[in-house]
Amino acid sequence: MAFPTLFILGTTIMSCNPQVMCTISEPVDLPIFQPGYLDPVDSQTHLKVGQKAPDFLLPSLSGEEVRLSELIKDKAVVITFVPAAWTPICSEQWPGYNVAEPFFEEANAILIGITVDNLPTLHAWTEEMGGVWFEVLSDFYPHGKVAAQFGILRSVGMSERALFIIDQEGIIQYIDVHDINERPPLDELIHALETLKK
Amino acid sequence: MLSLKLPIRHNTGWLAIPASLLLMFSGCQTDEPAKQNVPSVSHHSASELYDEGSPFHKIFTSEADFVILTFFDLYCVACQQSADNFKILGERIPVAFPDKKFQVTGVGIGDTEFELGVFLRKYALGYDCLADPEKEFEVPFAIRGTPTVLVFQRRGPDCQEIYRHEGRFRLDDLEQMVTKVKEYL
Repeated sequence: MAFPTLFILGTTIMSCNPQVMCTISEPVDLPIFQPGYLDPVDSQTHLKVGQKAPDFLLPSLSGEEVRLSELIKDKAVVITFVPAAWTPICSEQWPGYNVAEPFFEEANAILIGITVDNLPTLHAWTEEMGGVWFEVLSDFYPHGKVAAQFGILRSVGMSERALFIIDQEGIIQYIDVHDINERPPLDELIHALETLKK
Repeated sequence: MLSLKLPIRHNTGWLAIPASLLLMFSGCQTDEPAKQNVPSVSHHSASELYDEGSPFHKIFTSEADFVILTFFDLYCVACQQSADNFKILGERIPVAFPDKKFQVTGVGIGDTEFELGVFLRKYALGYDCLADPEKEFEVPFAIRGTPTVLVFQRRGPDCQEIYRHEGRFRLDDLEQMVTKVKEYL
């Protein structure tokens, strides 16, 4: 008797597509972990606009290892650090960048996303979000090394929610270490990108 | 959100019977349905529609026979996936009902004017859209999530909701919507 009943259970669960509606409070209807309210910022970056950005090499979802100093040979680089996969704000922020892709192209900039999650987790999460157009890098091991280089590793081992714009000389042109509980305003980032064009 | 974790072992398979029944009758989630056509429950009087202090005043701007509203959010994946069909909706309606007046309006719920502009730049819907950064329309229109499509029919000076779709809006949902509107002609 167990098999048919488990079959019914299984097909019932499978018939529920988890990604068809975004709730008002959680714009992506994923199996989201609710971290609750966190200290807005839990680190103090030593980096400042006008300084050279630390170089790094990280594995990406595409299977390539990505080095910052190689990327900036072609375009300016926007780095979006987000604290963790499968959490509410991060799962809104990155899909929003999918819609804003033309603004990055116009600014001759590329976007890369970094979290301290491992690649399998990042793969599952981004697939569930419908994919993202930009490279996603894993700062999992040595854990948070790049986040620490940028001075944005929180004491619990995840990164801040932070944006850096690095020009083709490798110089940091924009820093926003944002309140981890809030989505960074898209208009501020795009305005910073437009400034980069001038 | 309903979350069930069922122990599944060789000698406890019988537990799946009540669990599967529960799931079948409860849908995916109790408060966040994956997809649902809710019966017509919303009626708005003329005083609501035309009172300048009412959020409806900003929406019901025409004397159209039917008012179709598409609610979306820039950051919502399901809305991005529905955007092409929202555009088709705007094109399909005048063809399906050439002798009726329709108003189609989009609402970027939770989106600033700038964010709405970013959305419309990628997904040109072809009809007027409003930004609703403070989610002013969420409660009056009983919006539980995005995307949501509502159709209202004018009845004299009042408006009656005749169709509601919540969740990703596919082409067959559009056809269902057209069929529903035809029932009210």
